[in-house]
Amino acid sequence: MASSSVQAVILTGAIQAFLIMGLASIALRVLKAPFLLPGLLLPASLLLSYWLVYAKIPTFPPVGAVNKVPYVIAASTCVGLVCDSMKRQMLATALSTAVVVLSAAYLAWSRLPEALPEVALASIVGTVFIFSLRLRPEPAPAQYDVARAGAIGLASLAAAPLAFLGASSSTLQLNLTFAAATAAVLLPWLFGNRYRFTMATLLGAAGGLFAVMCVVVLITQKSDPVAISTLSVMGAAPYVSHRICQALGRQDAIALHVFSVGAACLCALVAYGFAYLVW
Amino acid sequence: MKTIVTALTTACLLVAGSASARTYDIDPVHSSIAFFIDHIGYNKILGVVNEYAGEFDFDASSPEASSLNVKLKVASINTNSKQRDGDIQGADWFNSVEFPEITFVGKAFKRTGETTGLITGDLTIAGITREVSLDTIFNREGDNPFDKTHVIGFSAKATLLRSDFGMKTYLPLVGDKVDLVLEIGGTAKN
Repeated sequence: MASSSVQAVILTGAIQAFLIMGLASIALRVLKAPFLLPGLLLPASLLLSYWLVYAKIPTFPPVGAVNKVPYVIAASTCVGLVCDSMKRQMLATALSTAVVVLSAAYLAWSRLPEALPEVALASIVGTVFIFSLRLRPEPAPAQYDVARAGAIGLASLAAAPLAFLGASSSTLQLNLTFAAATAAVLLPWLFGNRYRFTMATLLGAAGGLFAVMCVVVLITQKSDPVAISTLSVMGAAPYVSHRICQALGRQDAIALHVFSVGAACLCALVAYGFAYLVW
Repeated sequence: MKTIVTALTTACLLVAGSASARTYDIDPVHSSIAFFIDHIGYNKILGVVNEYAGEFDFDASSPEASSLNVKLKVASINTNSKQRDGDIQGADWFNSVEFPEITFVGKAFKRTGETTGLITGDLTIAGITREVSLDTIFNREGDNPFDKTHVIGFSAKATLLRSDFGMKTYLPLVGDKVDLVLEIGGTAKN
């Protein structure tokens, strides 16, 4: 397909996702919805992005890894909601780990047991991503949860070229669409301190993004596992930036976001190599 | 006595009939399987399947009793673009890792003319099975002058929708309709 046509398709999908999720987010902000609902916007964004890219709701039971992804996102979000309702750290830790390991195994099911080492490695990378996003200082500064949600969007953005190089132009489109939707979801919450990054947000969106990348890594098998592993550390960007802000004596939200984006960009540069800077 | 003679005669005729039905291997050296798909309305992209195998039973006097089994290797699909081929063999499209083969199993063989017929069968792509019909022309049957093997040849065409097999990405820019073109040569097993 001509590159201009591909760009038009990607741009159209990203704009649609941006508008739909932006309006939904504004509505929840204006209506002062309970904190669990805005937390569901990111998993919903990922599902919407999937639908916009693949133009289908896969039949159940799903046939093939790509068709399993929306069910993994939905199931992970439900597990997150259970964690949110139970409010027990140990349970949340156990279920987070289970979501990552079971997702990787389920998506690579047709390649087991041969792919067991790859599934184990993917589980470790996914666990690093999920747990780095769970890092939360007490007391957390204002906007810290928005920064955490933003880190998922940035991770999706950073993973897009890897998906393309991993022979999946659809995942490239999905990653970019989801990144646009994430930006739209978070914009209305940039002021004030009302957005909450819930376990449903974490497991639905970050766990879902992990599932999306698992298909590229474990099934198509043409991506760069080292780069993807490096990108998984991006989840720690908000925590690192918070520490930097503390060291510099700055408590404002703008500094948190700037340093967080900076840390995520640094992570992407390490993943892709500093050759990009030569330009 | 008359009943026995009739039965024996019928049995002989059946044996004679089945003796003329041969089993053929698809000859990959003298066959081609290709498809065309629309590219934004400007032109059609050609894809070629390079590796496949299969066999069929055929008797020109009773084509309805034929059988057909074909397996195509997804990893051998070539559209003259390394990037595109990598993409379509990936998990989003044909998913060659989970579903390394495309299969077609003929179910019904109907004569539509002196040398034409319609083969209806189950086509399975990426784990999804749909019924597809092949408009088939029986070209020729005889001995290959080079090696004296008994050979046969068919031309076939079919149209399917990729969306029926769960492939909806880039619709409608990349066409939904896929035109299949098959030129099949067979070599008799015996």
